[in-house]
Amino acid sequence: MRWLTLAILLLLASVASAHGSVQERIDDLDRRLATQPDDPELLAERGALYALDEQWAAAVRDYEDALDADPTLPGLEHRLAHAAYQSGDAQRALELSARVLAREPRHADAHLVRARAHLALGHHAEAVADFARSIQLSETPSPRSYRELAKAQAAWGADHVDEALASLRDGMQRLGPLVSLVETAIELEEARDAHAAALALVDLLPPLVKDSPLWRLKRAELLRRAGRLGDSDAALRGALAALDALPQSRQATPAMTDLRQQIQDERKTLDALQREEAAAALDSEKRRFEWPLVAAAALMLALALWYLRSRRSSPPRSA
Amino acid sequence: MQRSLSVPAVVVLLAAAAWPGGCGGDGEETNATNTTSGQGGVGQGGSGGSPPGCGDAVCAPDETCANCEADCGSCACGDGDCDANELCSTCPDDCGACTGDPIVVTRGPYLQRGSSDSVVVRWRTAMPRESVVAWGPSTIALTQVATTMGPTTEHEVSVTGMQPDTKYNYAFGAPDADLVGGDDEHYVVTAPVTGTNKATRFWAIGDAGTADQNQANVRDAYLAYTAARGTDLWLMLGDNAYNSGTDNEYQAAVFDVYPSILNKSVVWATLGNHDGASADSGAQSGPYYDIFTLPTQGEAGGVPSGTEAYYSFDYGQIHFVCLDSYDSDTNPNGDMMTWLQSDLSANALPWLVAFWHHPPYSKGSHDSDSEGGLIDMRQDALPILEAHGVDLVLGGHSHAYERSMYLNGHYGNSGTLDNTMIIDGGDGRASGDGAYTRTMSSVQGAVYVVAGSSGKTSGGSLNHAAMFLSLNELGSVVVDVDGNTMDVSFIDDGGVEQDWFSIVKM
Repeated sequence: MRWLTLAILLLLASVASAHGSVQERIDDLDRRLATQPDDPELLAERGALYALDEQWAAAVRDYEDALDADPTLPGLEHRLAHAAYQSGDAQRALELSARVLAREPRHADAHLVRARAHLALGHHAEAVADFARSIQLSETPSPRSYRELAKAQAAWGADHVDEALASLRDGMQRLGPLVSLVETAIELEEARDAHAAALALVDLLPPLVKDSPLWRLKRAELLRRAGRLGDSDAALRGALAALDALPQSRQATPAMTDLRQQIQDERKTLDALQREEAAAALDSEKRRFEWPLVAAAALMLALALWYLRSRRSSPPRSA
Repeated sequence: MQRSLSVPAVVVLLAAAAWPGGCGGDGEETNATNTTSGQGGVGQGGSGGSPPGCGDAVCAPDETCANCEADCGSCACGDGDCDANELCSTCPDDCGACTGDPIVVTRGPYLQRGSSDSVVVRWRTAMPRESVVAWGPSTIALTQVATTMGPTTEHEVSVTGMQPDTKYNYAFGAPDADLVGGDDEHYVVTAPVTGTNKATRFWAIGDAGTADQNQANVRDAYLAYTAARGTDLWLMLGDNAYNSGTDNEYQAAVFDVYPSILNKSVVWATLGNHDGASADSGAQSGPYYDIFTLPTQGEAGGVPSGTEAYYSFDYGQIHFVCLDSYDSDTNPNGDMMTWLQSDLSANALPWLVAFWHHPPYSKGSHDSDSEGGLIDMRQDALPILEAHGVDLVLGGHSHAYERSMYLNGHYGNSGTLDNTMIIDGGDGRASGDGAYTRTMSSVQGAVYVVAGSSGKTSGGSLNHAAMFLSLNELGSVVVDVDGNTMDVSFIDDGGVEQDWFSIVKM
């Protein structure tokens, strides 16, 4: 079962050294490797510990040495591909995962590693294909899989944003309207000023989420950006009411205190916009009323001038 | 009270033979396929009103004896009809004698994903069989039935329509055979209505899965300590089955060790590195994910996470958050932390308890100053949790008991701890320096506990500056929450309360 098989074997092989800090266990393996420098299982085990400790370059070295010593160790090439990717060597990760996939074309994790490597190298089409295949091969894909696919599609170019949104919708269909998926979709819609679509996404969230003060505030911000200031005002009042409805102990937490401040800041932004909007409306109203007055005044003036001129030019009446 | 070995099949069968609704007489077969999981419950109370056409003297497809007695007749056993809530084992008079072979239970039962109105009952059988759970308010009134369609050895039945904070007895098995359980040892108490106060006890064990005498001693010490008080729920803090979390190891280290707790208290698990050796959080595959039924859609409260790798649930006045410190992305912009932000923003409950495997502070067999998994959780999860007023954080990984002072804002290594981060450096005991208190003007502070010695101890320097106490002792953690007080105790393998402290909200 994929590379995990190796992890099991390694851990079973290391009962005696499975405890203690990672560094202690690495030190122990250092000692054992000093006398058995080519033992592939010890090398692979130390590589796994380095990987656990996110020392990716060291993990790559050990996995490579283990693979040199025993190319048949199960799952090792995939782990090496993963470590190579993590160490920043996307090209190597690409080559290794391609080799794994040539042997095991239904290896979902290998597709994932290759997808990430492709993406790092700017191969968007290939990355998208591998992310999608990885999801296809997973019985229970994680929210992260869909986000990675959508982000790769969005990074591919503006022409692929619809595909990215479709991927997120697929994810929501399969996993439910999860916050992380909805949030990513909103970001994509907002980036292309599709405010109505972004607002519709908020409505997909379960009531517990969309009625929370945090998401009421987000809705208010989206409405404001959509130019629906009145609705934004109402949503903002809803956010404050939801916050006030929380127990005092929750309201007093730093996160909620911060949220209250954000609501107040948003209120100021909205008030300023509403004032601007009112001033603009007044201005336009004024212009509407001023025009006839000016025209009438101009007409009166013209009439007066005409009258004066006609009086001056008419001959005096004879006595 | 507790049993140290797995329930052998013979015991299970004897229990079945003693089942009060024993089979006898001939009659028609139980209709086991007309109920869907958790929807077939009928009997006292019921749920929902009568269908619109009830009373027209025709038993329509949407009507049953449970929701329209006028049209469909009585559900009562003995009325001559084998209704959906009756089985050969619970009502042989109506359904006839059980004709199927007795089931051979090889695992469980164990209770999962409990809420105020539902619970999942799981067990394993030697041979594929249909699944049924009969449940009710007492051992002699298992008046409701829930089923899952299709023969399987891995049985998972969702029981719904229960009342909050109510004790139900249950029996389980196949619809055509005598059921197992249905005695005083097989029951579930549903969670109280979210937000209501109920004195709650939960038990936390970490790195327990050694399947040896150490583990058994820790279990026995807890069972003696809690005695008749019982356990409302319990947490497994990871490394639940050594050495690689395989199915066989889970059998030996979990199902064979805790049968008398598993069958009456819902257990909530988090993934440890040893469990993770055979499981994959991304794909939610492997024994850990096969064995546990955890919430993905907020089934027990909280915001849906979409994955069993991390989740939340409510119990009375407590909001629990489980994170995956081993195999999920802990990046602040990643899925888990994005979910966590929204989950905590939606939480209105006064108590917040978080648990995961890799502790943020430890100088036991693992060092939180140098190991990535521990550092990541400290730097990425703690700021979010503390901003939302977390009260207690439980972890394992280091095989010791380490308990912090009342802290806030300590995200660096141990050398960076300063006095501004120590809200209360006392012992937290009412009888000593005083309980840790949280007031409206002082809303921050949490205690961090490493409870990784429920199966073994592995020493270490045990000198983390954040810790009030560090012990290289076997034991487990007991938490009692009632109203505005949380009492936490560490019970060693001899039953001695080696540490205790309280948090009080003024």
